[in-house]
Amino acid sequence: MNIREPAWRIFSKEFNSATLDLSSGEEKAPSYVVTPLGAKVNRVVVVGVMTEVENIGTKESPMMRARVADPSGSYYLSAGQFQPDTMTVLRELKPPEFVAVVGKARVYAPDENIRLLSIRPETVRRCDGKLRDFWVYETCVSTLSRLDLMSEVMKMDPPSVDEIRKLGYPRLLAEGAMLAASHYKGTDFESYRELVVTALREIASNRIGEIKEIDVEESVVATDVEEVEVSSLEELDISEDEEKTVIQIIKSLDKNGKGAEVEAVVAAAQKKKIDKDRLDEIFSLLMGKGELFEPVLGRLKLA
Amino acid sequence: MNDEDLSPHVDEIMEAVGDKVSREEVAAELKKYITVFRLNLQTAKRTLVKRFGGESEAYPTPNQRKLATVGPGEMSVNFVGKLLSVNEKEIDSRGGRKKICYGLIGDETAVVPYTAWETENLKLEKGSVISVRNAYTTEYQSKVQLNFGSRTGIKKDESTRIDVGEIPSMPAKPTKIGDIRADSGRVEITGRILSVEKKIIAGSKGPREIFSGIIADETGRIGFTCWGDARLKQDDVVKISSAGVRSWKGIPQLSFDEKADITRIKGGYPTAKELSGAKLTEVSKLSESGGAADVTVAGMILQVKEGSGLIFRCPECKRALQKGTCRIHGKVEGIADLRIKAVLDDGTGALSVVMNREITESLLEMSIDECIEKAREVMDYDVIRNLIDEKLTAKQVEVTGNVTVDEYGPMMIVREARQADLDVKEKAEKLLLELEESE
Repeated sequence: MNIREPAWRIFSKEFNSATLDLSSGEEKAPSYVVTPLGAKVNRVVVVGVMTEVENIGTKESPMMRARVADPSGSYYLSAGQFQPDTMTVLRELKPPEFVAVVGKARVYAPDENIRLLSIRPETVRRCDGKLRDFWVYETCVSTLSRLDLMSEVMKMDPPSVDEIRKLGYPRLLAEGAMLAASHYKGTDFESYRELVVTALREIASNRIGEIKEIDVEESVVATDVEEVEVSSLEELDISEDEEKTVIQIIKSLDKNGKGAEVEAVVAAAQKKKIDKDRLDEIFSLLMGKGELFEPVLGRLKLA
Repeated sequence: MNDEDLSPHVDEIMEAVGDKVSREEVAAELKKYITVFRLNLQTAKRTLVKRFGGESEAYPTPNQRKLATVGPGEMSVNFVGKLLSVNEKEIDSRGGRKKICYGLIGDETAVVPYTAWETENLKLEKGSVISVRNAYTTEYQSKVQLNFGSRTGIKKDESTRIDVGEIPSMPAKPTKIGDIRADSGRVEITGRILSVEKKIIAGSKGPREIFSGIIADETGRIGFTCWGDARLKQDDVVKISSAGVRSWKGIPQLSFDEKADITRIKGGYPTAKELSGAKLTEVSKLSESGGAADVTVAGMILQVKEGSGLIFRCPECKRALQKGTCRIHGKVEGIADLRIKAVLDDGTGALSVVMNREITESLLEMSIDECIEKAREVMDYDVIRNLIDEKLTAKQVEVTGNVTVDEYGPMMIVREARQADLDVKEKAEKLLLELEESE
C-alpha cells in the first residue's frame, strides 16, 4: 500500500512531548512518533506564527532553523539543501509572520540526554491570522477527540485495537491510542483539556475590544453562578494585566530596537511579582498571538 | 474402506473419464491406490482421472466451499460461483503490459470480488457459472478478495444453477444510507428523492427505460437506478423494502425495479434542502468504506501536483499530451484544457482530488483563454500551475464529488469546489460552552 500519511493537526505541546518513536528500519517505510494522546504522527500541518528563522549552516550549504509558535508553545523547523523550495520561502520570510507549514516529524537524539523533535518542512506558505485561528479551532477539536479516545481506552480491560475500532475510530487512531496507552504512564490529560480551553477562549474573543464586551456579559451571568467560576474570571483578568505588564517591560528594555535581553526581562518581571514559570507562559501566549518574537536567541522583541 | 464406500467416488471418476474404461477396472484401481499405495482419496481420484485420459479439469473439484466461509490468506480455495460482472483492465507488470480481468463472483451465500491475473486463453462471461479450483485469497480493505493465478483451474459449469439474485437469502436489512457499503447485499432504506431522471438504454430486448437519481436520508446520499417506471418523483419520501447494492468502481449504488416494494411516506421528513446541506465526510471513513458517491470533504490543499494547470489533449483520445505528443496517436494538434490534481488533507487522511476546467476556471477566477494568453505572454505554460499553487496550496477548501479507492488511497473527481469559511469565532464559543457545561 502506498497511501499518503495524513497531516495531523496537533498542538506543539503534544507533539514535543512524544517520547515514543516507531521506525520500521526499512528504507522508505514511514516512521512515526507517537504522542501521549495517541497521535501516530508521520506528517503534520501547523499554522502559526514564525517567530524566528536563521541560517545555521553556511552560505554554500545552508541549514535553516525556524520556530513556529502556536497557543501551546513552539514547533521547531529545520530545512536543509534537500528542501530547496522550502529554503527559498524561508529566506524570504521576515518574522514575525503567519505561516502554514506541512512537514514530516523528525527526531534528533544524538545521545540519551538530548532529544529534539522538529519538522522537516515539505511546504511553507505565508498565510493570514484567519487561517491560523481556523487551524487552532481544528486542532482543539482533534485534541478533544483524542482525549475522549484515551479516556475510553483507559476504561477498557484489556484495551485492544478491535475494541477501539468498534467505537467507530479509524485504524490509525486505534493503533496510536494502543501504543500510547502502553508506553506513557501518568499523562496529565487535564493539562491538555486546559490547553484546549485556553486556546478556544483566545480565538472566541480575538480582539481586545471584544474581550471587554464578553467580560461584561459574563460577569452579569456570573452573579448567580458558583464562586469558583467568578474566581477563574478574576484570574483571567489578572493574567491580562500581567500580559500588559510584560509588554511594558519589554518595550522599556528594548532601547535600540534589537530586542530586550531575556534575562533583563526576567529580572524586571520578578520585581512585579511575576515568576519565571508564569513569565514563560506569558511569552508563549504572546508569541502565539504573534505579538512577541525572538529575533535572535536570548532577545525578545514586540511585533 | 470397503467397496461400497468407494462406489460414489467411482461414479465420479466414470463421469469424468467417460466410457473409455470399464467401471470394474476403475473400481479396482481406485481401491489399489488407496489400500496399497495409501494415497488419499482426493489424490487417488485425480490421478486416476488423468491416467484414464479424462479431463482433470472436468473432474468434480474436491472440498467445494461456499463463498461465505472463505477467509483471507487462503492458498487453495475450490468453489462454484456465478460471474456477476467481468471487467478488463490493463496493468503494468514486470513482463510488460498485460490484461487482467476483475469483477464480482457470487454463490448463494456471498458475493466476493475477484481478479483473474492470467487471462490468456481464459474466457469469462458475465452471468455464467464457473467451477474454480486452487484460487487464492487476499485481504483488501478488510474484505476477502479472490485471486485466480497460474495454478488456478477455471471451468465453465453448465449443470449448476446459481441464483445470486436471491442472495443473500436473509431479508434486506434496514440500513441508513450513510452506512451502505459496496458489500451491503440487500438493504431496506427510507429517504427522500433529491433528483430522478429518465434514461433510455439499449437492453438485450431493445431499448429500455430506466430511472436514475439520488436519494438521501439524514446520514448521506446515494445514487440509485430503478429498472422500470415506479413513478418516482423528485421530493418523494419513500421506503424501499428491498434494494440491491451494486458497486461501480467501489462506489455503492442502489438498484431495484418497478416491482420493488416501494411505500410513500407522508410528512415529518427532513426537507430536500436540509438533506442536501453538505454533511462533511472524514477521509479516513472514505478509505475504509472503499468509495462513496456524492460526498463532501473539507480539508487543506497540501500540494498541487505535477500535471496541473494548462494542458493539451489529444483530439482523438483526449489523453494529455507530453511535449505535444500523444502516447497513442503521436504528434497531434492538441486541444487546450485546464485541470487541477492536488492533495487535500483533513487530518484523518489524504484525498487526491481532480478538478476539471470549469472548476479550475472558477477557482483561478480566470478563463481558459486568459490562461492561454498569460502563458503566451511569459512563454511558459507552467505559469498556470504556479498560479494554481499560489491560489490553493495551504488553503482550506470544501469539495464535493464521487470517491473511488485504490491502492494509492482515495481519489475524488470533484464536481463542486469552494473556498471554506474560515470564521471560527462562533464555533469556538459554542465548543467552549459545551466544555464548560460538561465539567
